[in-house]
Amino acid sequence: MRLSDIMSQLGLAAFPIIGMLLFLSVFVGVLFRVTRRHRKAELDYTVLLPLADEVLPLENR
Amino acid sequence: MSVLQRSNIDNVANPNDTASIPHTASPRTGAALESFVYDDDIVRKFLTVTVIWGIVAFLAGILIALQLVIPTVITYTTASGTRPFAFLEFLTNVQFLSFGRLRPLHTNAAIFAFAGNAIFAAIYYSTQRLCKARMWSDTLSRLHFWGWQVIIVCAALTLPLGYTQGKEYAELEWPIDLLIAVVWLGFFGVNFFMTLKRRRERHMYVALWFYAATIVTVTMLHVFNSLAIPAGWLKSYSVYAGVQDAMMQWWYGHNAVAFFLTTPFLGLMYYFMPKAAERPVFSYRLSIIHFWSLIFIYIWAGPHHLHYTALPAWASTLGMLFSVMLWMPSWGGGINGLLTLRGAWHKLTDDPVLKFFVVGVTFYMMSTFEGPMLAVKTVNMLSHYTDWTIAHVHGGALGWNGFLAFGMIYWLLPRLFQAPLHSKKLAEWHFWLGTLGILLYVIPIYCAGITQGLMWRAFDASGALKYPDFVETVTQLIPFYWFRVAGGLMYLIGALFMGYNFIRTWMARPAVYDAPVQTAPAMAPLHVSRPVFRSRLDSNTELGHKGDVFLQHVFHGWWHRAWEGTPYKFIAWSIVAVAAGSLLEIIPMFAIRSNVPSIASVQPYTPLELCGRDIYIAEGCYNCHSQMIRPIWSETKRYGDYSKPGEFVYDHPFQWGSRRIGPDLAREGGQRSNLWHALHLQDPRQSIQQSIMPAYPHLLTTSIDFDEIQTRIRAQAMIGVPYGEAVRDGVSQSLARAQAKVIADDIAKGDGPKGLEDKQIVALIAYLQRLGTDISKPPPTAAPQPAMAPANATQNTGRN
Repeated sequence: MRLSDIMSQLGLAAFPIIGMLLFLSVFVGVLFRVTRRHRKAELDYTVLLPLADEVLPLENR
Repeated sequence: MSVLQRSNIDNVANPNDTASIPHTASPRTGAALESFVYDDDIVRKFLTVTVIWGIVAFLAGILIALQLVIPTVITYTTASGTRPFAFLEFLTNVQFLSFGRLRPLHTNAAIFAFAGNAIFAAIYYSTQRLCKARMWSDTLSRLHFWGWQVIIVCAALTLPLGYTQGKEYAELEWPIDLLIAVVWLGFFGVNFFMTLKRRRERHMYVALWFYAATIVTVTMLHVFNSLAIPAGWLKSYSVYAGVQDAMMQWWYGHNAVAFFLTTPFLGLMYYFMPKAAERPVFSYRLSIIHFWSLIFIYIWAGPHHLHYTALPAWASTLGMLFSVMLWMPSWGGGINGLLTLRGAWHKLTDDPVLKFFVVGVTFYMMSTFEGPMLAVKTVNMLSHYTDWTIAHVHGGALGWNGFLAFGMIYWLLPRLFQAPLHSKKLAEWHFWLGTLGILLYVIPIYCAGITQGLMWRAFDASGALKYPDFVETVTQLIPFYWFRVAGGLMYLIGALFMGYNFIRTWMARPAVYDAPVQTAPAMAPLHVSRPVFRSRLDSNTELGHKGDVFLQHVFHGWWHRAWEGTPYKFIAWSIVAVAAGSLLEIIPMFAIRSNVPSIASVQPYTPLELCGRDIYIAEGCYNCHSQMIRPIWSETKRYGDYSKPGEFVYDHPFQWGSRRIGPDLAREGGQRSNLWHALHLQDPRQSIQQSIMPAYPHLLTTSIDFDEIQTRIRAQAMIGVPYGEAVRDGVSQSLARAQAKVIADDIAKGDGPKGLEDKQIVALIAYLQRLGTDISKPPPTAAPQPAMAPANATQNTGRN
């Protein structure tokens, strides 16, 4: 039995549902993770990283 | 408790990153400080070519926009019985300048040369600073820079010469594809990830996530979409055919937009916008949600480019649903960008950098609202194949990519060249010219697209098509096309102002650039404690206890801190996110047989038809003509029976197209005589006065390389096309010559040009006459063989 036989027997319905469940799991996981209070200090530090190397801009005309 | 060892600076590849020289101790941690210098020379290089290639890309855009209006000017402008603009005919009949060859040049220049070099400049500048480390290898940085410019020059040479794979945004032939893979992953990717590994800042700012996802996903897209069998040094055939090729192509095509024109620019936004506004991004939490949602969802959206085509409906519906879901992360990110200016909106009035960024992000939000809307099937039914898509694309490219790149350029110029920006006023002029130019471009082209779509589907009271001649729907658009030329010119003039500003700022640079030595402590090993959990349940099954322990691990979050700081684990999860969507869509498409029901009467192209198909691809006919009749009443009425998946099983690559500047050709076979085609290709305006199609007189003088046909038939046979005896030495040539003679004799018999039996035009006519005819033929009694009978010479219906 080839893969295409197995896949043809399985039908299509499972694939989008698996995809949707995967996405929802990841989304809920990330949402839960980033909203946790104990990460505040870490996030407050990270958000400032682009400004940490700031050099004063030269005067424009 | 377990200890996860983090990467440390154990050795240094770059002599300018003198990590082995301890300076002094960090006042915060007490760790030894290391000194290093950022490599800004590579950023200057990328920034310079961004401006140059940007101007080239915009110029090419103006040229092809003019090519759509010039034929009308030449034909209809007369003075004293003469045509004063006849001298412009070279824009419509010189083979190297034809629309079909230059349009891919324009798109490749805009995407890979302009936007590509812009993101490289952004990545090289920001990565070093976010990692507090010089790029891992100066050699790889330079190899990346020069390698990418060689690729661009190769594209600029091969596309006008007609060397193309015929897949939109993936036109470049296989040797250049190989070079892209080496330069992108081997030079750029390795250098970037090694810099991440040897960074001195533990926390990876979200811009780095976007860059990393860009590198891994573009590699995946490029490699899988470009799989092809070479049939010569500059010719190859996609290993995929028909429906499956279409699926792969738009999986690539849409995600090229996602991961080449969106994610790296979002990284750019998250780094440079806080810089310009001098305040941190509005919500870092939102940026994390933005990142993971975007990369997970985007990868599914490609099939929305194929609504109502022969692609199975389940796939395009799935693409539509995920496209609609994209609204949320896209707008979340856009709002996050705009709100970064909270409390700093007053700076907009006199800062051109912020002006570019704010309008750029606004265009991002407009484009990412419109994109999902166009992905909705009922909207797409009207918009697909029309100029609406062109307006949408240019809103995104000129507004989002262009303006973010311009904002970054103006922000970087004084810092990189260590001289004040030559003229802020000129930058302001650039901003206003660019903004008005975009509006002048996209608004008329929206109108053109909707007009076109409505005219195609208009019926009169008797139920007949109201505009049965396709050309009527083209001439109606010419005024809109003139507005596009004007808008494009304004955008180009703005870019020229930037070029001038760039040169003058560069001229004011110091004799020697100051290269300040930076110091930072090496990154110490990270100790992440992995707590031991016990089940909190009183009485349960063993599985229940294990589940509770697992949930505690998940929710405690130690694992996220561990892999978020480790680039390789982070990259692995990014790959999982994009691969999940890809595999769940692509594997069923390839594996489930019912997706492409076979049609017994569909046979491989004859050797001459295959040669003609190669000419069709080389001339870029797919840029204006689709080969896909949707099951929509107005389309079947205009073009004939709707297209079936099984009709394309020998189409390597598929040629469904994405736009109709000319009519659909899926059922062109047998509709018109050979003579009509010959004269029409020689000079379209002899046959249809209002036509804006380029002329192809060179096809009547360029000879067919019959020896090459044999090689190409063998390459097709290698990817599964059942050519049988035709693969034997000399068989394909003799079959092709015989069919060519029949067509040439037929043309000569009708008082057409003589002596065409070895000219390319007969091959192209053979292909056109074959299109869409198999489905109405009786199924063969024996195994499939190329249809050798030159049916097209005798089956004309006389619709001249």
